[in-house]
Amino acid sequence: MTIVARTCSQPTCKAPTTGVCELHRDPLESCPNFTELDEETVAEADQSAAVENPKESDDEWTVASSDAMTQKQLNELLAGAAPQIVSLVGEHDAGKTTLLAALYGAFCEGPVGNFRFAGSRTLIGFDKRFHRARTTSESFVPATPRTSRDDPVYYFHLSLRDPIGELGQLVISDRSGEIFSAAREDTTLVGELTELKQADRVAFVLDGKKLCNPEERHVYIRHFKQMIHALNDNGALEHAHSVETLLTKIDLVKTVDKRIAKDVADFVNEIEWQIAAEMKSASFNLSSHRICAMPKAHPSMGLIGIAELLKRWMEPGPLPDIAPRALRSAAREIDKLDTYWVWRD
Amino acid sequence: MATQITHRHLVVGLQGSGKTTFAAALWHILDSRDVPTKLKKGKHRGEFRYLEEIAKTWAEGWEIGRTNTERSELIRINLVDEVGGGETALEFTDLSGESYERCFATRTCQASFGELIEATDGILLFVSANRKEDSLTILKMLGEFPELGTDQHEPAKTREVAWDAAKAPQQVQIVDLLQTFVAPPFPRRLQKIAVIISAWDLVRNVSPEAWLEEKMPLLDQFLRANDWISFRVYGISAQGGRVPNKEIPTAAANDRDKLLKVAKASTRIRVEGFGAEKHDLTDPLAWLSGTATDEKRG
Repeated sequence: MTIVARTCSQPTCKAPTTGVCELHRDPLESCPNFTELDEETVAEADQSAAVENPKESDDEWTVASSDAMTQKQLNELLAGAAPQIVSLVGEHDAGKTTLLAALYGAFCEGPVGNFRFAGSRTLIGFDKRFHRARTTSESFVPATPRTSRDDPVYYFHLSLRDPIGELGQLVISDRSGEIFSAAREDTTLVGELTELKQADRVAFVLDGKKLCNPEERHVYIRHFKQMIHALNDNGALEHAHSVETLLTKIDLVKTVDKRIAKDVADFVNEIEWQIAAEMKSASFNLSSHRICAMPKAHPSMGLIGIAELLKRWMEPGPLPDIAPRALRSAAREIDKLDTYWVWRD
Repeated sequence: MATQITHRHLVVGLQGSGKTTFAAALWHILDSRDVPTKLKKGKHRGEFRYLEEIAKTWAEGWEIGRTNTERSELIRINLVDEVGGGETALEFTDLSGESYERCFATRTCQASFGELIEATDGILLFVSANRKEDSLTILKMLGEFPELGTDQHEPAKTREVAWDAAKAPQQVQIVDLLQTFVAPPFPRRLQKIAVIISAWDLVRNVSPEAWLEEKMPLLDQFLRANDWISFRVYGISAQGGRVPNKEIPTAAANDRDKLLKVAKASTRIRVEGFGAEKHDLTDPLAWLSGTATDEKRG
């Protein structure tokens, strides 16, 4: 890979030309805003930009679409920024689209946790998924549109200012749950889940509503674990530094009939424990979390776990390993020193 | 000798955000010279019939009706800083606000508008305090009125409602426009934005900044979180109170009689924010044209 360009998403930072990071990050590669581009990426981004941003004619200009991003548009973004990328994985109706819509809806009402909204390339894409949760939709039941099996994977973008003043970017992928179900049952399809190859974090979305149904839950949880194993066994999770399970619709789990509430709670605890045990040998960090993104059953409950989720998702991954590699066949003894240090460790 | 314009600013706002009333009041206050202002009227050439017409309607205490798009294209008011020097041009490219809403919905804009944005130094961004709530979520509503969530509304569950750009909250449309102005194909980065909250006479006991934070939190966060934006928020009542429509003068309670008794019409104007003189509509424009940088709010 030949590096032909360096960019920084901070407009005022001169790191690409001077090599000095405005945020005092050393090495430069450890800065989340800094990106090195190879020839292929630059060419692809240039081509994409030319297609996406034409000055169409002398009379009319086409402006940025603001809708959900396709894979091509994500590649264009990646040419100039290094966002945290989260892939949502889950069966149909687990709450993936609701989660990302609710995140946007929360920012429309103010900062989320300690993060402030600084922009989004997909503002209209978010709004299309959130509009049925507003009273202007003339409905009495909040809803999010179903993601169609025919839709490609879509990406949603947020630019956020963190409490210490740093600007970070978050990209969340969403695709139809039916595609994930198909890949679970036929692992030759796992390779088509392209978003997982770029994901820093994968979130498996667990439908709390189904766990409250004694008839449905056993098959559902078997399928849920089968999905994690199918993706892990076929190398789809090896790019991610973190994997998490997200139990959604916690408002239903918490307010289920008191007679079975303890049973449901125990069941959820057991599942989270089982998944952690089964994934113990995996290369990624695994954690379990519980959220409520749209408390339809109990509106007064409000959002649960969203601020914590955002903090987690905006956390940069581990720094790249920049330690010099030992030269095992070096001509001079001094160049083999690294080999001895590694050996002594 | 041709006027040497040193700063160009653009008035931006969706429909009904108070741009036309501001233009009328600004024309009156500059022309009448009956209250002190930071900027004075600059040299003007050409036709000003539309400005004259709306300034007359304003001075007579009538509501300025919906702007006729064909008549309001490319209105410009020139202002001069007699102390510090420099000429400022304030462009009202679209008093009706339709082109901004069309840009949001269709993702296209007229090339002439794009060129105007390229040449713009600062934006006078209008939002109105006299607006319908457009961001209320069903969950919030049900939190306050749980009885609305009963089964009698069950059929609504299955109703698919298509997204309508016109129903997107104003704050979302405005943030999208501001983002659009700094992304390709626009080559320049806007740096200064003066947010004008119009119909400020309707607001009590809250500062313009606090109003923006409470009523338009997404826009407020966007302005605060981006280092490349320097912004101020002003509350302005260009009319000074509620005035009736000339066609239906007694339709609703209004302040027209009280306003007409004011000796100098320019003193009907109320401006709040950043130590502005209480009638000086040019304060935000003087700031846009100034070179002093302002402390970013935390």
